[in-house]
Amino acid sequence: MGKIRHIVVSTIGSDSCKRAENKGIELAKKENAQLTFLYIVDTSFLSGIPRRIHGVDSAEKDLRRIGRIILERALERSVEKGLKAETAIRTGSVMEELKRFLRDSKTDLLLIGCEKHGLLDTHMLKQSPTELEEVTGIQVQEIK
Amino acid sequence: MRPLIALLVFATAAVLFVPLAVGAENASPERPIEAVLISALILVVVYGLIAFDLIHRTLAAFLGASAALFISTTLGAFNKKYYLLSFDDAIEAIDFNVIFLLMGMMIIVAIMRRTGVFQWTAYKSYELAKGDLWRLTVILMIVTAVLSAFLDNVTTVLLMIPVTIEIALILRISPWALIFPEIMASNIGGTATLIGDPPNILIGSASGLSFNAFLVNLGPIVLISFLVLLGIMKLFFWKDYKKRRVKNVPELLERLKREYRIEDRKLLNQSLVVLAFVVVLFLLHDTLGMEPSIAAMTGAVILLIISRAHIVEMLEEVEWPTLVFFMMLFIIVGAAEKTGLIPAIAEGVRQMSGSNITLAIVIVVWVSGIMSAIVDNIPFTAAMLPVIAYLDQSIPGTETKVLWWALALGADFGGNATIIGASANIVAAGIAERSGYPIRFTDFLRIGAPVALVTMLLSTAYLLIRY
Repeated sequence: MGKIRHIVVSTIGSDSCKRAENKGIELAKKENAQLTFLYIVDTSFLSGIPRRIHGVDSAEKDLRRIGRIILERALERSVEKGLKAETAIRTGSVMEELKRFLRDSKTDLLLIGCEKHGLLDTHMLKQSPTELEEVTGIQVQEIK
Repeated sequence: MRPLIALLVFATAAVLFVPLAVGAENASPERPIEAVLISALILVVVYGLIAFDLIHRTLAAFLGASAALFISTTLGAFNKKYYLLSFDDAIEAIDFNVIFLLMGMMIIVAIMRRTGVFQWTAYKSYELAKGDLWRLTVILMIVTAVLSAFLDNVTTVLLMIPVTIEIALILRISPWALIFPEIMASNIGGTATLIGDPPNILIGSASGLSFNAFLVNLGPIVLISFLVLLGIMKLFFWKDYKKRRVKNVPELLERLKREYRIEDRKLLNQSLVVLAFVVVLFLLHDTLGMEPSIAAMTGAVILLIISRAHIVEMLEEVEWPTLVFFMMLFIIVGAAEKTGLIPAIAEGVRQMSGSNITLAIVIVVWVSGIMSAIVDNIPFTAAMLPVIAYLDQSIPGTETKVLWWALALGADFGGNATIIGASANIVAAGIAERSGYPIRFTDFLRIGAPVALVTMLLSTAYLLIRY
């Protein structure tokens, strides 16, 4: 593995995502790399209900606000640990937006939270991280 | 998760077929067993497709209705054994009172939503709570319950929950402590009125029971259940509530005030006046004999005119998939009724209860409650309407319409038990997940099942004592 210059932590503020944020901070300090916390506003879970009547568009705005709070918290943690990080918010399907962001931001390493639910592991990606790694050519690490 | 659902679907089919077997002797040349079985198969397949979430529920119902008509006009044209219903029967089976009531209320909600009033009420709740988390929870629950009683639950939850989560995240508390009470309050509040929940709209139209009758008969038990819900939520989340009195109240208030303000005060006033007018018309149903759908449509058209909203744009906001779902469902249930399937089920239930009103109440509340926790309560209620109508005529002591109330309470309260029990639950869980607080099936069950169990026990006791 070559030198890590840019680390991206994709977060939704869950417990495993917080661990991913901490790992990102730790690695960025060690490698002297740039660190970005990314929140993706994904309303695909509302695909079963008509968008307009129930205000799905306003839900997107609301999730963006929630995302901002989650990113603020991540930033606070990095500042506490003496690291200046950046934040980004994107809207769309998690997998597609991740691919686009990783490509555009010249990322070397992606950290992503993965919840342990009994026998099942669930993460924000609908595909396996290995597939994302194959498609983007960027190293992906799941944090449990 | 899938095997569990499969098991539940099997249970659904069994629940449908056991009474059928009991009433099988009712088959006659006018009601051939082949037609009964085809309509039963259509019903079970449509339920299965909806429960498994294999295809959109509207498509599932569309498929079922089309199959019923196609079989009737092809196989049925040659052999009456395979004839389920005619096209005219299908059109007659559609309850346009339900369709127009839903459409009218959807237009009113769509216009009201533009004012930002839902989010504003969440901010106002926080202002009223003055930093006390338990007080905030109670206020949010009351607001959600009242909104859900008059407007649809999904919109209420979709617009209230994100603000609530934002407040919780800023206060650094678990959003669960605020959103679970809101979800449960939404499902309980919606039970109080004829327009609060789709099952109630179906029941109101099929039984001819008025808006007032719903308020008078369901209002008390909804109030009792709400108070009990407060206690249950306090038990579950007490640690979160007592954690602290929030210190940065003015700072958070300022932030919320900036983000959640009334977007259009004039439109809000117009919407509130029209909504009040519609509710008055609902209340005058007994005097005027006006169907609720006429009241809702009148309100919608007045609001469209005075708000100068673009009619085409507003009609685009109507939830057509839901309306089509209802229409197709009516056709499927119509086929099951015509073939004698539903009368056979109704007869089976009557025999199981031994024409005993007490037993019938218990069966209706608990079967509806359990089924609503497992499958969409709309198709279940639609299928139960003719069953209850039959029992209402054949069991002594049902003059008080108690079985209709039993169906409403079971179908509405049962939805609190599981994450898939109500659309509002799924929407809230989705937002919570994207805010870092995922709610798993078992998490929801742990909190929702006791609420459903207690409220259904209370409902059973209430119905048995009062009627």
